[in-house]
Amino acid sequence: MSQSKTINLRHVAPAINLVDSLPVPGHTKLKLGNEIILHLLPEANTIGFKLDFYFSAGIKNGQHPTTAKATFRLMTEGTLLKSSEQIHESLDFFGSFIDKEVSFNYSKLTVFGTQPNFKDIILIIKDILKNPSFDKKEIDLYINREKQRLFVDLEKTQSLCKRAFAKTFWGESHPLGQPSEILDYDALKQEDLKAFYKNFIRPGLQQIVLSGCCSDDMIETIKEMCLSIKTEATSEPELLSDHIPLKGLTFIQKDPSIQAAIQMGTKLINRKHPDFASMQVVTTLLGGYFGSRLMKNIREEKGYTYGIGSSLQSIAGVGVLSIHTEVLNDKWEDTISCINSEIEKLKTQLVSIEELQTVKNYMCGNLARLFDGSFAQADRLQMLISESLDWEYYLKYLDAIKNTSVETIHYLANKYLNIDNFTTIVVGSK
Amino acid sequence: MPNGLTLIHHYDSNTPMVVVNVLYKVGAKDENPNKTGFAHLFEHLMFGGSINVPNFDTPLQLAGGDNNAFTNNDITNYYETLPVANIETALWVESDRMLQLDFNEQSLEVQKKVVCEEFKQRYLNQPYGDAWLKLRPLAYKTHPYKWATIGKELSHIETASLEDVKQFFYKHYGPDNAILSIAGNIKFDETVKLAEKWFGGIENRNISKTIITPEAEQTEGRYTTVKANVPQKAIYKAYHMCDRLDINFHATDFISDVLSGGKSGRLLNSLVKEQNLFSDINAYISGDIDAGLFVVEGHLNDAISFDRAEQAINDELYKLQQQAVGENELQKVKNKAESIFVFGQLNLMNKAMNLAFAENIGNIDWVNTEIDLYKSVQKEDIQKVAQQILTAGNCSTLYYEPK
Repeated sequence: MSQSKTINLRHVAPAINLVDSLPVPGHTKLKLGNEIILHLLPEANTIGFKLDFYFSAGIKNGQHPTTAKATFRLMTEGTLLKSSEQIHESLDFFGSFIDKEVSFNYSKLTVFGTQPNFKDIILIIKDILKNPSFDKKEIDLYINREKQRLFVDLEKTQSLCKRAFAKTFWGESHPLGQPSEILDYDALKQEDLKAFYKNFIRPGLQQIVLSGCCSDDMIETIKEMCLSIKTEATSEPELLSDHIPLKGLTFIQKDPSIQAAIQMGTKLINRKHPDFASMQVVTTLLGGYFGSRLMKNIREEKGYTYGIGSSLQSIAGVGVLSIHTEVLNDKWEDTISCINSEIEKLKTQLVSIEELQTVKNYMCGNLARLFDGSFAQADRLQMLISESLDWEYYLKYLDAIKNTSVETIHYLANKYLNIDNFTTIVVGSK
Repeated sequence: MPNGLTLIHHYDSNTPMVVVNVLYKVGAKDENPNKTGFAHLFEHLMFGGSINVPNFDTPLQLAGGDNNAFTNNDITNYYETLPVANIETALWVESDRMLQLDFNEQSLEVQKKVVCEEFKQRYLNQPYGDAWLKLRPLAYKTHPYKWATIGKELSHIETASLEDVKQFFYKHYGPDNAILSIAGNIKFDETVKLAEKWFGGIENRNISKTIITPEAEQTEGRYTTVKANVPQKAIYKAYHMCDRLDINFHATDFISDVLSGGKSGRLLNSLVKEQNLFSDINAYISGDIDAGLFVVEGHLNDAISFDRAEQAINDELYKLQQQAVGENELQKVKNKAESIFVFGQLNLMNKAMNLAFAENIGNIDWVNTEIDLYKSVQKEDIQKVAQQILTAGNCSTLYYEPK
């Protein structure tokens, strides 16, 4: 092929095929003993597996969020039969690693490993789930480590901003409005951890997801394990009062700081609302991807920041639209007015068809990427489980994105976005 | 390919996606000592548009793609993930910026500011963020690993000119200094056809390798103390180790695993849990292509002196020199390596990148066979390497002290 021919073909972008379906898996659901549900997402040609245990025990259940987090973290640090050192020695020996996550209404323990060691790994996990000891020594080590980590965090403008935002936005009586303080760690007591385990984690195992390698042997092993774990319905905590966030700007002085951290947010519709998917398109257009309006304006035109983003999440039943960035210290005011004018623009001017098409295609491609491989699909199941939805949700979501029109964007921006409703926190030095 | 571009293909029929990964054999080590941070700044400029693609991101986003890049001391790596039906969009934009970047003053000015903000956000505006900026020039005296990818100082980035940018492009960017790795649901013949269509017409630029003088052997311990706004004392001990292809590399990697792999490493058990000296401590290797660093890094508990903490680390390292690791302990780190190997093959992007990395260090078969090198490490190898490298004279120590 000659050089000139190659150069010529470059003037026109290659034709594009749209993503019009998702590889939504047809997964198997098995009902095990004690009302536990096992979901299977098998993948051929691998001996690697991922096993997620979901417990209906989240920070909403603890007397204080720090208790829930500490209990879940320390559950793997020693049992009545084995010390923390022995547990980790064997998990490491079998090439297994574990991951833990505590969110608002549930917690998740994830175990990675390979099929030949499955039985040995499950023996350790079963012991952890049934007999955690919450040894005093391990609690003290945990407290020391977390306090040191917090001291480091309190030096970061970004963390200070996030913490102040949580308090202002959710209110200090809401579990999400109570980031852990030094005093909370000092107040942790062994009996509180034991109680949280006994009342919420132990009876709260409800769903298990096995992805990657899923042999019949492995399924049998899980079935046997579940027979000896009792689950009960846990009592639901009282409904939280609806806190109205303090609106407007709060500036927090932090000296010295080289950049100012900004977080803005407002309450919006949650995932189950019919406008949610299209509102995601609005949020992505504003600041949800590299080509977004905020990235173009604040990073690519002005060079104030390394990055700026916006997101719409459904947290604790509440939709939260938030915008966050770290900018040049003396440019935070200008940044906020740029953010405001970008929001105004969405309300007053129609987005071009080309820009909307770019965002929609990006979002559809991204969704397809989120379904690539059984581990990724298991991650999608997490949201479905916690919100009691099924795969159908994603297909509808894809359709809703594809059907979002220029007019819908304009209509939704006017319906939901109001600059006066935002809570804004800035941490920096003046 | 005839123009010097290396093409790698991996077929995976289980995915609707494809990954296009382009590795350029240029990193911070190829920079002029007075113009550091350039390879990384350049990576930013590569998104500013090229001759036929005025905006880099939009076509990829339209194609449902995601893309990013990173720079380290050895390489600059760009990648796209997108539905396989749209692979040509990725090949179009990647080949166009290899053909010729659109050098313009506006893009340069903005990206200089963005990189300065990145410098501040990641290195200056957080406690201990600049530790590696201090550690590198202490450990290296001649080798360009002595500066970090972000650059030695902000002024090097601030003073970069358009002329510098052009020179850098023609000196380091071209098909003969790149590896194109394509993984996904696309057959070999089709991949070759498309690679030729988009990259075939770009001329070989006869790029010459940067000549780097290896670091002289360190014979005397080096120390430095930093006083900063940090909540607790920290210590960093960096020992020179072998290069990526050296026969001792895997044994050295295992030393770091024995010390702090998983949650059962010796340092955690002894120095955090038994002796209560550190709130956390880790050992790791830098993983560079040329001779790199073996690092032990820890945060001290209140009221523990540097002397006491350092002595405790030295005692643990001394044990590795005096006594071979146990059979179980060795088997443990081998099993862990195998597990990581299995999981590394489950992700398409990982596979595309690992193929490019292995090819770049000169042995593409390593994506499949390097695990055997790990499995064949003997406990005597570990002891021998520990004796060779974990010595006071080979070490650079950084003390981080609260103001």
